[in-house]
Amino acid sequence: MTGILRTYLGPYRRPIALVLILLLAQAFANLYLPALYADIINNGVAKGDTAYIVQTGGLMLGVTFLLGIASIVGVYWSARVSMGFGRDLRGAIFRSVESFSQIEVNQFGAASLITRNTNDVQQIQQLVLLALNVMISAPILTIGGVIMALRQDVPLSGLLLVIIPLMALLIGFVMSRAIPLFQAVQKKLDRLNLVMRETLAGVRVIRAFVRTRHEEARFDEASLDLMDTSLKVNRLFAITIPSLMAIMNLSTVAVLYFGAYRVESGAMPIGNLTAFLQYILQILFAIMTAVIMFVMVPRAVVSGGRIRDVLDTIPSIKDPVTPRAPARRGRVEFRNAEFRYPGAEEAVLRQISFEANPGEMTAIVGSTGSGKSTLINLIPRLYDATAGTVLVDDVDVRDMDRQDLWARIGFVPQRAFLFGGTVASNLRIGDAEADEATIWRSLEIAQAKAFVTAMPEGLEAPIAQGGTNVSGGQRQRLAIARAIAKRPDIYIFDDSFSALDFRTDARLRAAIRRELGDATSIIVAQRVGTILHADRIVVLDNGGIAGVGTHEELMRSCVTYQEIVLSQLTGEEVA
Amino acid sequence: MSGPMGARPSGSGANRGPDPGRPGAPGGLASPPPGRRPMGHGGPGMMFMQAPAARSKDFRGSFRRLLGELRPERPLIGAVIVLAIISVAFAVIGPKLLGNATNVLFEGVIGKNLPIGASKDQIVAGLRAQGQDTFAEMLSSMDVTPGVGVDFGALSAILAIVAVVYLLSSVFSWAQTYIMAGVTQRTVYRLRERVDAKLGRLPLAYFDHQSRGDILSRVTNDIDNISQTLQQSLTQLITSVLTVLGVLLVMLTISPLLAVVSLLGPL
Repeated sequence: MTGILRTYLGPYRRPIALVLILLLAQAFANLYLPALYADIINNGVAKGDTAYIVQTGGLMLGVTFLLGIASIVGVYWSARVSMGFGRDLRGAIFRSVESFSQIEVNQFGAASLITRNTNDVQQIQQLVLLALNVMISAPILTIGGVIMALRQDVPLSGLLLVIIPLMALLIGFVMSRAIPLFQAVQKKLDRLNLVMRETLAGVRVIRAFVRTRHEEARFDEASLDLMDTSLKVNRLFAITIPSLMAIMNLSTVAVLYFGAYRVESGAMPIGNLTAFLQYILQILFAIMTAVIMFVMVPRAVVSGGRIRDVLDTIPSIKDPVTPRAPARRGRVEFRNAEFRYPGAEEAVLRQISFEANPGEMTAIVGSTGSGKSTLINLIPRLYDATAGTVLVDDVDVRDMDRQDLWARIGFVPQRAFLFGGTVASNLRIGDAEADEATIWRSLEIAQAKAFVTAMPEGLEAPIAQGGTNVSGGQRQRLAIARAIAKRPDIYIFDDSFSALDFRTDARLRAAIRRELGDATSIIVAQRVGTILHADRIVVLDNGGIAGVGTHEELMRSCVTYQEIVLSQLTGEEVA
Repeated sequence: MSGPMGARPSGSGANRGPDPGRPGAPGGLASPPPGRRPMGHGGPGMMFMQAPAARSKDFRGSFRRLLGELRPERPLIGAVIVLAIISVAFAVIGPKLLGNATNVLFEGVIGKNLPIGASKDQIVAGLRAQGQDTFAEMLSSMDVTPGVGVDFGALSAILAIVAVVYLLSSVFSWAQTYIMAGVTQRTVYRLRERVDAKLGRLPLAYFDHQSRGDILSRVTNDIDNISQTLQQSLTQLITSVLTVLGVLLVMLTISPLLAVVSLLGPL
């Protein structure tokens, strides 16, 4: 937390100094004004000296005017500093997350990373803003207020010994109850979010299994729980503010009552009594604002810790110090590769060895959860093998610069994701320089030319964030075209044809075979029927290799493969 | 990994400026009620503004709908307004009565320093003769008995009344916020239920074309903002308007001239 503040507030040292100086000036002006006021009453009003009233009143007006200017400039700069601080911190988190591998992203969770970059930064930013307005003035106004009150009248200042502890007691009581309640509210809010997120993510399952009622009941429970706790917090504050007001107002009454005796006895001029009143209010206010700031501190510290966690995470996958850049050919080889998730007992992949050569199509099949996607994620180093090696062009991928490695690979993920923009801007993600001819050619191979041509804007047709404004099949084909436009040596298709009908699927495969014949292609497939002609089929079973070979070879030798094929063929016949 | 603050949807609380009237409430649902009335000279650090959120396309329509959501709570909102009126009335009368107490004190102090035995008129005449016209005028308008000090009986009586008035103001203010908390939380709860029920009825196509984060942030963040507005802004609106009216009224009764001067002052 202090580290974050020091690092990211450092560049704002000058404006912060300015704000603090202005705050100091304001605090002194605020302490000076009641003294002037006392003076007006003692020497002006009580003696009927109009000239003196005008003169001192003019001075008060002047001081107030300067106070106003100092306050405007101060608030302006404190706002600039805190907003700039927030921007810098968000930038740092963003850069840090960009360097993360899949492992770190999974570790935090995408939602949590977003929260850390928005809500958590906001917490600290608010604290900075408040601190820049309160930090200096609260202690000066409190201590200065006490000193000035003592200067007005010492015995009457004894009241402070009653009022301040009373206020401290009330604040302590409220805080001790409020902080656990705040945490409870946050937990219940998280719970509500969780239920809602599940409802949204699983909307199809919920509908299919007619679980809507059940989900609504779950949501209702979380919602009611949140309401109860929120009510408790709000009712706690319902009693707090009026109590604070009562303490302040009754203090005024007490000061007047006891002050009257002091004035009557001639020990204290009447003007001092009014000044004393103002000092007491200033002290109470300063204490209140300071308390508000301190209430924010624990939350900001928690947020700071969560941000630190992100900033301090060293990505497990880094570029080598002396990268090797072998000649581009497109060969991929797995040598006894193993992968286990951090902290997991059992390896997801064991003893994986096979090779995929230029001009060949290598298919990877296996039941759900057999590790197919994890396996291909090892090639572009989305994960690093925990044992053994993965080689591209005969060099360990860990010895290559990742930019260089990625330039060789065209990756089509399982869930096709498009960025907000246009068709063209999405296709140029792999190669920003790609000309229109290349783009059209890629669309043609990916069987996407027809529907892009049909769009009125053509290549400039808008694509919504995530690609939600095109159908699932179109999204997949655009993602494939994007990989093709990059003209890589190695194509990796992670079950990328799942949303296509059989006809489009067949045409797409034929086009890939024809047009991209020189490249290496690795295809993860669910439907065996579509990879029967692959040069090599790798059968995965429970993280290990059950067999490698052509369809014919495997049908003879590999039981697992036979089971997969038979189950799908009967399945298709039934359908 | 996730601290007590856990994960929240993106953008939650993104456009909230810090507000000293809200000591560190996590999210809006927990926000305490606003400071009640303008409290003397707001010390430094008390002048924050809420950053403006994205403007609603149809503000009037949305506002009317929001009022519609409050329909079931109408009797209670009526009670809140009545309580607010009473509370503000007491809060506004307090300083006026306190002024009377100061007058008693001031007159006592002045009176004590005047020679015993002489009547007020004699002293005024004497002052005029000496050319101290302003002091003479001030004295003549005051209820002073020369030689007699502060009337502690009267002072105590006034201060006792002021204390009671202030206490009552706080009690009514508490009752008002207490009820409003219930109104707000129940309304927000109903709103969440209705959104959830609606999501259960919407066609699947809606979920395909709407990003999940967006829907999520509507259910949580947007409803959160409504809760804040109801709990904070609505109460504040009622009490602030009433306070301005009340204070104006009291100022005019104390001195129409000073009231006008202080109103024109800022211009």
